[in-house]
Amino acid sequence: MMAAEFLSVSNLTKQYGGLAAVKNLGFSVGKGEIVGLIGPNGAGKTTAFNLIGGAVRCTAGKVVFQGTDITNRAPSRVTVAGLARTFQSTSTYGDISVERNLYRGLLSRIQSSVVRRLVGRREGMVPNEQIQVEIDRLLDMVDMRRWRDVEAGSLAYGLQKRLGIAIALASRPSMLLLDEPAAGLNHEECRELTALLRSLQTDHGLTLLLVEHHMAIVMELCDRIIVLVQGEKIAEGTPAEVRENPAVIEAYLGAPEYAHA
Amino acid sequence: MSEMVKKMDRRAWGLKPSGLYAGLLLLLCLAAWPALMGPYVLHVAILVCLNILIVNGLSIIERAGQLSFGHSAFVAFGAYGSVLMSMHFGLSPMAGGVLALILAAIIALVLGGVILRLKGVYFVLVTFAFAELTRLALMDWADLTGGANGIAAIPAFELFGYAFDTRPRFYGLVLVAVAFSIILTYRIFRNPLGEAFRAVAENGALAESTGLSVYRLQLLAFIIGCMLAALGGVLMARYIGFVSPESFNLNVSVGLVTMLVIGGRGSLWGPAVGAIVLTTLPEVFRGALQTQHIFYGIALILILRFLPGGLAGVPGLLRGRQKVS
Repeated sequence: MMAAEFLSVSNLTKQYGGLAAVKNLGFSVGKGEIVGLIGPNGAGKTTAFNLIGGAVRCTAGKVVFQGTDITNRAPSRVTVAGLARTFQSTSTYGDISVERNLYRGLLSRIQSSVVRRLVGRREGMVPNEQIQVEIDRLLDMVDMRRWRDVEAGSLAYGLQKRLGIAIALASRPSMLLLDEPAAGLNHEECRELTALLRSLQTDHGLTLLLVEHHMAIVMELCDRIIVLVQGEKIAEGTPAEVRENPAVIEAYLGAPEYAHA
Repeated sequence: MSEMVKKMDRRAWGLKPSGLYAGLLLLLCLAAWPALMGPYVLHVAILVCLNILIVNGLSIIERAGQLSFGHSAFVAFGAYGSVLMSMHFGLSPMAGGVLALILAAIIALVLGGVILRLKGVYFVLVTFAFAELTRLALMDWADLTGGANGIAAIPAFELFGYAFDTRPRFYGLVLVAVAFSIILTYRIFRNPLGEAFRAVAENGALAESTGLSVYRLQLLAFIIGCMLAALGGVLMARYIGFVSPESFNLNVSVGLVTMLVIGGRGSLWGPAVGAIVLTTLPEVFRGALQTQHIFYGIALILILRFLPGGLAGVPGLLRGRQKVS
């Protein structure tokens, strides 16, 4: 294993009774990379995500983030370690303003609060006077300043997903796990999302791992792609390599004899 | 406190600190009335205060996203704990009470530590069973607790040689305790801690993903809430001068939840409103002792259906303002 690895996953396995949702999954993500996790429905992408983020306990395997073993840690502790996630469906606090959503996202970082003692040691603490500044910074990162006082639940779908990303950013992660960020977005919103994710990488130095069905986005954004089929990794490489890979083509389009039938 | 926190706080409560003090003042004026009305009204007022104290504890737990149907067990730990420790170790009521609060906190820590790890409705079910178990244990452990006969002739509360042995004196004491519990609740929920409780209650998975430990936050809320219940128990035993397992049966737990729901969940004054209404009503309808529970049931259903914010949410509705729970 290289020391430069940011996130490394090895032999990750999740067994549900006799069914292995994820089997011996191993891959690594380098600092500043954007890596895509793709595969047909039921391939175990989301399960793999939940295993890495701690939402689901793995049967076997190991997840190491920035040199720390985070296998089976509670999700909040994974986040505090610097690895945050977003959710497939929109995930915001619907009844409150965008600003207050971000305030809640910041809670684990607020200095001199009881919450901090419950959360444990972490980096990137915000003093009380800086909370407003930090919220402004987050609003700028996702370009949502003018929505600040709007109730989150009344935002357009695309903006809600964008807010979901901002909430994840509020915990000040160095890496972001994005679960189908483009699902349900229209063409224009997809374009904005691509630009946003790219800017997170280039302007803010974040490392991204995304599960995504939207191939155009994956091909455009990702430095590397990992293909899962039935819980197992069948291919890994640059978008160009993966596109040409016969095993991947078969998984997506069916075996050649059917494809030609 | 930063501007931001203050701003969030106002939106959260719809209440400035001046609102808290105005409310407390109003409550105090309300509280002055029974003091002039003779022993019976004063007695009811004291029971109201004890219930406010206990339901405030339940409210904190509820606002962190868990509903305890075993709150009466912690009232029992406060009541029995303080009396037994005073009796057996020769402690003052104050020292016995403090130890009982610590005991309740430890039990809450252990119980909550186990069941808050489970997802779903387990919390409700286990707290329900735990309360019944507690009552049966108090019943069966007769050597220590006096069994079904309970413990009688409990001396009055005493602080630095001053005995709260008359109703007016005790009323003063319990009013201070109520004010303390309201200010405590207010302070928690105007701080980041309270906002974290709300976040956890509203969307646990999202809160967890932002670095908030749902488990630890709910455990903390549970411990604080149970300690308030125990405080209510400590004072109750000293006031009534008698404890028995039947004072802590499941009806009591259900009654406390009813007070919370009818008064208003997620609001500072809800527990007070619920405790006032549901403690005084049975006194008013003494003639209908058997049928009154039917009315509570109907009231509960109607409130849940039409007034999710409870009675305390009515002024907000009348002003046409949406309240965040």
